[in-house]
Amino acid sequence: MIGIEILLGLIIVTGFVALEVKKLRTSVISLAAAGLFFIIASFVFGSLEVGVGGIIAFSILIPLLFWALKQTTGEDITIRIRPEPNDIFILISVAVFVIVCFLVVFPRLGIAELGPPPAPIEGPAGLSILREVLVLLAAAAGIWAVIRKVGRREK
Amino acid sequence: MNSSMLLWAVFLPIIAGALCFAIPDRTKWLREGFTAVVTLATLVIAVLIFFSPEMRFQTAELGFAPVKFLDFYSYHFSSFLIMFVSLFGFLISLYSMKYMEGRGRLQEYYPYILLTVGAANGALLSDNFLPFLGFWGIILVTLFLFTTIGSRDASPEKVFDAANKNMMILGGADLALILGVGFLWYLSGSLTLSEVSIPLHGAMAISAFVLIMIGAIAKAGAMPVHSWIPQMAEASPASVMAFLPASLDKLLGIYLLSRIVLDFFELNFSMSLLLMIIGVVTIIAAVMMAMIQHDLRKLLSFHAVSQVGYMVLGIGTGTPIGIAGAIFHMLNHAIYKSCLFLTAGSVERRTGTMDLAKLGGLGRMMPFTMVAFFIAALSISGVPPLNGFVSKWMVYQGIIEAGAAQYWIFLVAAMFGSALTLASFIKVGHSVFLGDKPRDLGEVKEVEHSMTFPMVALAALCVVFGIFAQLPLVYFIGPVVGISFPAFPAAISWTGIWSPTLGTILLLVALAIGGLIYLAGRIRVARVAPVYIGGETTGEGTTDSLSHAPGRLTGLRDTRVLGTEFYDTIRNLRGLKWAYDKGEAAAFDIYSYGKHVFPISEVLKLLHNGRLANYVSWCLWGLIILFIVTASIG
Amino acid sequence: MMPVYVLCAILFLTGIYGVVAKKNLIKIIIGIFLMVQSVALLLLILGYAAGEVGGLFQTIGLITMIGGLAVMSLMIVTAVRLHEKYGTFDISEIRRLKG
Repeated sequence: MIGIEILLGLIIVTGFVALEVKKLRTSVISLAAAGLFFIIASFVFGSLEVGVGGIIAFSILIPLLFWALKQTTGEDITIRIRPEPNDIFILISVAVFVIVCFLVVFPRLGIAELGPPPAPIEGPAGLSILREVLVLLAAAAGIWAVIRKVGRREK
Repeated sequence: MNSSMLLWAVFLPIIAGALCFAIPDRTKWLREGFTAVVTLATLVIAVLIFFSPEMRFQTAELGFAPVKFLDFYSYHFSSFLIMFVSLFGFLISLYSMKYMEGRGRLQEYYPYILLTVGAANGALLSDNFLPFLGFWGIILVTLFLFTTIGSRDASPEKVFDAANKNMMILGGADLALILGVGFLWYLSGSLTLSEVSIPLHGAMAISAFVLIMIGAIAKAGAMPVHSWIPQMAEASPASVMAFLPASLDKLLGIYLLSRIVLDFFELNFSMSLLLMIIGVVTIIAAVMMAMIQHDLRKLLSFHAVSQVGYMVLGIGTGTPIGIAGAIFHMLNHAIYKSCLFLTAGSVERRTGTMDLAKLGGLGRMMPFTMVAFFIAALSISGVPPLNGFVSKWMVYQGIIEAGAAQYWIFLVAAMFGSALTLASFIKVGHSVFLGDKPRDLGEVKEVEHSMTFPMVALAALCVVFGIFAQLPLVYFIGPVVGISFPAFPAAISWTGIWSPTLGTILLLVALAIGGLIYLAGRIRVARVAPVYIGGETTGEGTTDSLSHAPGRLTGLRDTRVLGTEFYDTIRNLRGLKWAYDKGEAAAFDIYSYGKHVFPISEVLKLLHNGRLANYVSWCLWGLIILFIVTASIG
Repeated sequence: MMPVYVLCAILFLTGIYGVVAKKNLIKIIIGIFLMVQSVALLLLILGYAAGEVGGLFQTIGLITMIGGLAVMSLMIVTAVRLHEKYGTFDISEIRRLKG
């Protein structure tokens, strides 16, 4: 299955672009692209549930991010700041971690045996929807609590 | 009766405590009432548990270790202690209704009481070391949080220092405890409290014993890990002092110490000697410090340290009667010291100060407080027929029975400590309740009933446990140490010649005869005259008025003898002055050494720059090491 | 050709890089979401390799996505509030977070 690997690679590339660009709006669009590839990948894997979950997640998250940028700023000014010694330490840590992962951890991972997808099994799916809805409701309540203006303690 | 009742005793207060956070400030009566009702319900459950046969509640073992998530066992010792824990919780919540009135952070105060009661019950009932250590830790956290609430007169820095010190000393002691439990597990292969029993030889067993002992005596507050109690006393409300360091921490610490001596290890000579030396040093040094204190709370807190010495000494004797005496003394101490802190709190509520020099003559205005105070004070000084006497007597008996002829020095020291305790309480009694009222102290009323009730109840308990000492000995303590005390009303023949009930009757008869002689001699009312001090006049409020008497020069007419200068001569004795100066400079405080011993922490502080990414990088380095190590092993 | 697991792990590492090395709050949030995505994908691959569809792996994958969504949205809203208060997304500027 070459297709799935290309999709994953695209997710990685778009994700990395999302982290690196200066314009935050571009980075959100890039993240949306990553999300699109994620949804396609989950459909390729034959998992309807996760695909639908991804559609819901990204259709809420991307507008929310755009809203957030509209409220605040579209520029990432931190890209240009000269790194302090501390930042260099952090970068070195991440770099060493990545190198160790490549040299030590990845060679020990088995290669996934990806055959043709098995036939979907019909299972009870009704109950889990309720759970997800509950989670979303809780999140919505949390968001409301954070952004509400009335009754908020100023200063 | 089924064993799920054990769960109720632990989780009812904990869940109620969590709910109590949600009760808004507007309905504070609901919060107070709720706390009192829940602690009362816990008391009822504890009584039911005590009167039913031993029960066990346990969950399945976790896979990787002989550890159960919950394992409650109503061992006799535990079940009588949870009764007292719940009783103290109830009395303190009752007392706090008025005492804590108008203070900040009450929204947290009451839930903490409930959480503490639940966690203490959990620690006492746990029969597996994992939940035991968990509950033990919760009590430390609530103690810390209680301390941060702070008293009215303490500055935020003082409160912070005290809370910090609690956390450092007790946290370190808990670390030692966990390490000791680890050793114990390694040696015995079991983490069940009631199964562990190993001989005390070999370096590892001794280290395990000493480590667990440090955890226990730090909780109880024996030297050298005592210094958190006096510092906390200066910065905390009296009700918190009465609740945690005076009663619950003693119950828990001495419970653990008795368990390690009675069950986990077989005591040997050197460890026994170590415990006895700790005990005696604690008794003498702390009571000497207590004598010279000018702050009521601090004085009481030094006594709270000193009395632990008797318990450690009694347990250190290793004789059944000594251990029984120690456990009884622990119970008695919790009762009378709690009562004393509550009376101190009452005095503070009405006068706004705990400085002995600014108090005086309150006895007439606060009769209930005074009576409760004097009963508790006589009890802590070991005056018959009160409970403190019986347990101290048993500890002395234990020392004698321990055999070695050289132990007379412990006996003498313990008795001397008791005398000094009485001396310092004479000072307190004079300064607060007797003597003359200072001019700037206005009209003082007795405190409210919700405050007098806990004090009077505890004082009554002092009297009952003194006169009918057979009751607690037969029903609570006898089964724990495995000796059957002769039942009520027979005399406890082998505790020397003291029979509590008979002794009391004889004392009462003697007092009655004395009173009759007094009445027969002079029927007139006694003449009240100003204090005569040999023609001298003292200026009010001067600390050295008796010796140097600036009042004499200024010719003040007010002659008020200050209790605070009673023992100034002892304070200024040549040899002792040095020790006292050192003591006040915290030279005997293990905490002050800890601060200098670890300069490495100063270096580590530099690494804390507050950036989360920095901490994550350290985690990444940890992972890197872990990856490389596992890869090179596997 | 790299194995699929390794690609998932690289995606996760990209997320870690974003969280640790980036100073902008929005970038950090994006980094976290990349991590969530990688975990969900790993679960999908595991389920696929185990020959199971509509079973436990899918359910957990869905929970991961929805839970991630909930957490992300809260974080975004919090970031907006922080920006309102401090006028920046730069976490080294948001001094009150400093311990």
